[in-house]
Amino acid sequence: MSKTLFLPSTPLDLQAMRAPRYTSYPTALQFCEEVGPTDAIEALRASNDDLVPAPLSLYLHVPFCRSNCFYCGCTRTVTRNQTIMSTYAARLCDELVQRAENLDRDRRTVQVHFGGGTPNHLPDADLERIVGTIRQHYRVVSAVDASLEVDPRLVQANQPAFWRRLGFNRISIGVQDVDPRVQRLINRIQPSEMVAATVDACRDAGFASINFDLVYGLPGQTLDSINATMDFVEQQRPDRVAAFGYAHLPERLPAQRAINRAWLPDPQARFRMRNYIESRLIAAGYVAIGLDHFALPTDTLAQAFAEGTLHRNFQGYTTHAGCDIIGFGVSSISRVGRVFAQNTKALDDYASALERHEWPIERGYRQSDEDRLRERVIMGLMCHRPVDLVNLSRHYQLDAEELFADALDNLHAIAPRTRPLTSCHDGVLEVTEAGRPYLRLIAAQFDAYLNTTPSKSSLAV
Amino acid sequence: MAAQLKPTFRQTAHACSRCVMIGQCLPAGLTADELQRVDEIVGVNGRCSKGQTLYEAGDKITALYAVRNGSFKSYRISESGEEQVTGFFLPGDLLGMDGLHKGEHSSFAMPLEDSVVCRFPLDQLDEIMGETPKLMRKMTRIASRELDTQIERARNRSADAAVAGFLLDLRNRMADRGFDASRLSLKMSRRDIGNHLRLRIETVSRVFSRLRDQHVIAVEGRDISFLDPERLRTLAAQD
Repeated sequence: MSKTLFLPSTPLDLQAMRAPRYTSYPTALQFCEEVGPTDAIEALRASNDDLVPAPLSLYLHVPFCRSNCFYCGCTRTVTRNQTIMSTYAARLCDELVQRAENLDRDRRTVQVHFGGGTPNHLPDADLERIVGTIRQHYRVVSAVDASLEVDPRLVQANQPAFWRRLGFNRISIGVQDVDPRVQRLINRIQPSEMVAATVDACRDAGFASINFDLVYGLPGQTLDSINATMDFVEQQRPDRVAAFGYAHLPERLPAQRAINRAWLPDPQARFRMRNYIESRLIAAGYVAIGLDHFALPTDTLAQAFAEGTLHRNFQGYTTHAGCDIIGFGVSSISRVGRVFAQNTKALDDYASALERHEWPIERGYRQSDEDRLRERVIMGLMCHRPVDLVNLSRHYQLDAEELFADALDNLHAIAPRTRPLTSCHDGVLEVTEAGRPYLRLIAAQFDAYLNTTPSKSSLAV
Repeated sequence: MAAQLKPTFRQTAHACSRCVMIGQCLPAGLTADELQRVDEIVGVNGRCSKGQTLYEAGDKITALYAVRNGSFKSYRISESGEEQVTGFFLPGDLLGMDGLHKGEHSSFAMPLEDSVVCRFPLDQLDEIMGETPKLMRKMTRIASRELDTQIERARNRSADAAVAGFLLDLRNRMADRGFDASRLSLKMSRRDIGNHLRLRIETVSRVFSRLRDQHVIAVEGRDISFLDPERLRTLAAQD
């Protein structure tokens, strides 16, 4: 496992800061309005006709939060109006029922994830109703991987047990940073005792896996504040930790305008923070998976990594490869076969589409053979798998060697003189130990669309 | 009812004598002179679009059709309106044989993908067959093979045996046509396969999963790789 810390000092590190996170290829920036509900429905029907139809992974987006965290880039609305939330929950149920009509009855659902927003801001009765609808209309396997993201400030003592009863077995807690000053600057004040109480309640209730979401690069953060956060993480020992770099995009995300660019750590400091987080977690026995995920060796994510079955979906690294992903709710993204489809972000449009019995899709993308080939390379690299370019060439009937000649040259050119970032023997491409911190930059070399959208990607580290 | 758009055909010199599929098709084994006679009557380049029937049950039979490119399924519609798939046709196969004895098509013929057919007008074909015993013998062999396949299909056998038999048959037919028989891209859906083998789609997928887990085949989408044909043969022969 990676024990190398690299010192950010070269122009390469600055280059690395432009690359996308690659939760899909092509990225959502390539989605367009030409691909819509008809394409998605057709893709679902075609997937039903496969000899062994892919298992399903359901994603449900709950766009509501009780208060406004300044750093957040997700699609969400701040509200305390129960009626609005319950009405939305009813729409989600409608969408679930409508979508089930496009799926053969024997399609197995192996993964369910509630994200947001704040899924636990929904009234309990609504969450129960949505889960009930899923169970009634989808064939959920008994070993389903079912998770939800929670805000610890809203967790009642009996709720973890309630979530377990509904069938959730994994949970993700937004922690960000424990420093009160940082919390004030991002408007997310949650005493660490509160988080600890949630962790205890989840453990008592029998959750198999607990994840902490941390963010570095936040206003007011220093290595000292991160130090305190890592002390807390070590103490609580969650099964997984996801550490995201803050993406400051105030032009696109109005909530972030409350954050003054001057308070943000500079790029070098971000690098040091990321490194520090990784070194603390590795010292505490976590396995580093990619750049932003860490897991205890006993966690299924670490096991998938060890077995080479790690995959990536819109949420990041996942244990469940080869699923058709169906998104429900505003802004959610689906992926069925070669078709990506993203739901509208507007609550009104979402509701009216469902009233017309239409899939509320706003934009999407249909992959070409070349897109598929590049996806296999990029995801293989991101998931630490050796990539067999010869095999892929044959499978997609494209000349990978020719297609990627420039990419491979670039990789040589940008690497530090004595430490290549990748190796390529007999057409099998692999990331070296030295290359691991630059995973996204390496993957970016194989992205055919990168030059067309230069400044929209967040900082890579 | 599926839309029907009758394809147009054209005449061309050397239609059969220079066709790559001739080894598999009706005129296989004919002499140059005999082939010339066939060339004169056959209509080529009949384009059929996926989803549009070539002919329908009850249509008067005026011709037999050979698949040149692509693939077809034949089916009948039951009293209750349900589709029952009776067979799959690959390049070189002849469509329309099952209705010959009564002069009208017994089933529907539907392309599984955009396909091309050649047309043998029946009255002219009859004439040539009178002069050419080889052609008559070939027709008999085609009918015999079809009969054999249908009887085998009616046999009581497990789902595993049925699916294994189906895959093997496809594999053999593709190999006979000179294609790489180690991998196939199936144009028929699991729905059609299940319908044809009288299995539920859930069962079809369960069998494919089992075969995949046992490394007898590899499956991705509609693509199959044959990893262990021997094992497949054993399974097909079972009850």
